[in-house]
Amino acid sequence: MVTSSSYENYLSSNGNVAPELFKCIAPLKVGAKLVGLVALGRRESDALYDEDELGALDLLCNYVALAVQNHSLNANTFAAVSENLRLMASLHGFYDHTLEAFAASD
Amino acid sequence: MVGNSPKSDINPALAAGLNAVFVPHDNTWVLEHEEVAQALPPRRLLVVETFNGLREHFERFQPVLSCPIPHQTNQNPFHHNTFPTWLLSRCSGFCAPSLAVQKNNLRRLLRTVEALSDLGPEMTAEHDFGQRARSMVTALLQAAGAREGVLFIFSDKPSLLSSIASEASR
Repeated sequence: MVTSSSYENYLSSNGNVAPELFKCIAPLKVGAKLVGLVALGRRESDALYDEDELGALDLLCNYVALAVQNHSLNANTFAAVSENLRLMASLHGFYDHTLEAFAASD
Repeated sequence: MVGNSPKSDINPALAAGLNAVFVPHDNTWVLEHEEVAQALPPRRLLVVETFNGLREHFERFQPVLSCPIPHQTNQNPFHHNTFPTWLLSRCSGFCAPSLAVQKNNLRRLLRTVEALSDLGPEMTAEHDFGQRARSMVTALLQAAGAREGVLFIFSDKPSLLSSIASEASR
């Protein structure tokens, strides 16, 4: 968990992200794998995030990480199914052409 | 027990002898649908439309919660002897007396549980991930009291962070 006191060490200063924009960055992890992150801006009272709130955020991020991981797995599965269907269609075409070639040779 | 699922949260809690708070949600997974069982005395069932309703339910008793607990038993035996029992009868199984007397901690706990209760149905809802991601960011903003937030997804081939949802409170 990165908060406003330490974010300068982590965020790029090349201008893509204004360093004052994010006040808290929470990693989304499933096991040891990073699946995403949540970046929060200012608080309503412009106060810093205290330890208890960071703890609560950490708890909630575990659930968000699971949802993000499920989405990634689902997207990967969908892509794999599409690829398999494309290969199967290609195989059918190859089979049909082979049959036609054998029929024509007789 | 506080929950949105009659099948997994409310009915098992009532059957086990606990009090329950039912927070219905439109996006509750269809497999969790079930008729809510009747709470047999002394068990109690509270139904609130949103989690904020539960916060209002507790705040109705705020004057009593903010009363200092007397140190001497001869000062106010009513509060000293009955306060924990009175509180537990209303908090029913998910907060302890030491937490309840600290109003800010109780509010913070409720805010976190509220966010958790919002996240559960959203994570199992059958709508597209973009909408689900926005709901999750909104829940996180409410829990942390933040004005704005962004959810990024990380892919490692190639290493790339992509923003998939951003929300700001008005």
